Amino acid sequence: MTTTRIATTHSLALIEVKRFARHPLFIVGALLTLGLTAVMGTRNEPGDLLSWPVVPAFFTGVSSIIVAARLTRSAERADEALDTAPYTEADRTRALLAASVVPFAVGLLWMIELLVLTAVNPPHPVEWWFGTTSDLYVLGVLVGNGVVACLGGALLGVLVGRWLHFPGAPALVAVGIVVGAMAMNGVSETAYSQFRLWTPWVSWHSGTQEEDGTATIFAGSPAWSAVYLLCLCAAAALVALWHDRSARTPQLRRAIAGVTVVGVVALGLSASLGLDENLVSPPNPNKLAKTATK
Amino acid sequence: MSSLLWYAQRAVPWPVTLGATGMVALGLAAAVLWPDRVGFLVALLVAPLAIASSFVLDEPSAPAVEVAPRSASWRTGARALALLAPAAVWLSGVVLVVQRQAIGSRGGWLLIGAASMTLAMGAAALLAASGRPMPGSYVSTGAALAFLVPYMRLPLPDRAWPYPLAGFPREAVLIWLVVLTLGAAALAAALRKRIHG
Repeated sequence: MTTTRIATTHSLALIEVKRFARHPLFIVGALLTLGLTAVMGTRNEPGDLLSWPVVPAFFTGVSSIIVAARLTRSAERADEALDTAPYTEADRTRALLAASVVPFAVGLLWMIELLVLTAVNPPHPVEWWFGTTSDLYVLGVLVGNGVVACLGGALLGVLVGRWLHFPGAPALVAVGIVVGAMAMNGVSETAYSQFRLWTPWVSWHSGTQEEDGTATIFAGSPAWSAVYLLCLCAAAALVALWHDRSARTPQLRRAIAGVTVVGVVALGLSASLGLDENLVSPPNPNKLAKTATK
Repeated sequence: MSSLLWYAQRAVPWPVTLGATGMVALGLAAAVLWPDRVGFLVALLVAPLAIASSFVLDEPSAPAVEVAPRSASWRTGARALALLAPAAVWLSGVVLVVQRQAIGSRGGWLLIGAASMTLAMGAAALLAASGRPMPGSYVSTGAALAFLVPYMRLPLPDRAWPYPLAGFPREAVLIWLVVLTLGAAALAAALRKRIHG
């Protein structure tokens, strides 16, 4: 890439970052992510912590799919004017991909917020958290299901904006992702729980079972699953770039193949390493007390 | 009737309407086949059901259509025929799911389906009558997020869980009746203002 091309991409990226950060849907999603976590973290004693990444994944990740797809499509409405601009579709795609740093930052902020809240207001000693399971398991869940989900939502949105041009595609993909992930999570508590790991959002914690106050964490390695999810993110970005015929270089082809191979290996490792089987916590007395008062 | 169908066939954006309907059908089929594993999915399918109803009023040629001899209510009626597809899928799917799985009441799920579809169509009609000829993308985004949020359950006390999976409390019935009324009121107001001219 020439210096001029790099400078052009930088200025385009800066514009897209600002557009993303100012989008009302993203702002609402980010505020709900950080606000709900603050409310939940300060109210009573935090519980079911490893299921909390659903908050950033939904409010920031899912809304980022729609925001990124809309931003991508909005530029294409000026196709004729853009044809005369001194940059290619791939440059514009790179700039849009760079804007995914915005939801990624929200994901990181959310994780820091959760760690601070639990340090100030610690969970019950039987809670699945640092100390009751491995640090790598906990960090893998928080990063993979929280931070990477925020990043991946935006990258998937760019991919959708580039490839799917029928009206309603972003909303349909967003709903499809949620329905698909939740459907596959139905196998979490079976002997075949590893079969759920290929989906782009994997449940690792059951939530507290109301009847006995226990909670289950599921088999597999969340850390390797996070690596697999990062490969999905990279694949989404590369395939979005692939849309521009002039960008279909041998280098890009090799990158897609490389990411696919690493992703498949990471998926295999996420199924074979980590916990061998689902683990059930002792009953949480506070949860039992809540159930009894209902 | 044939002219209504002819118009609906050409005017409605079928890929997204049928795509969302297909997603509802697949989800309901999975819930019927594996009720103990994915029965809870039925609550999530309200979102694609609403999306299927969001686009039927999209009119890319609004300025030309406004001066056409057909009235706004005739055109809206013709487009509304497209809703028969998601409605039929929801009706038959819910009957089968409740029969196989005994999750809450059949009437409850039918109320939820009718309310979500009416609200999406009503919101789209109101936007169309206010000069936005392509309201579908706005309504579908709102519908997707609004109808998925309750599934997150996070800030809701159990009695406010608005789906009839284990009982269907009176508060939940009230929520969906309000949604249905709001949708019907929006639709009526839009028809009074004349959709797309």
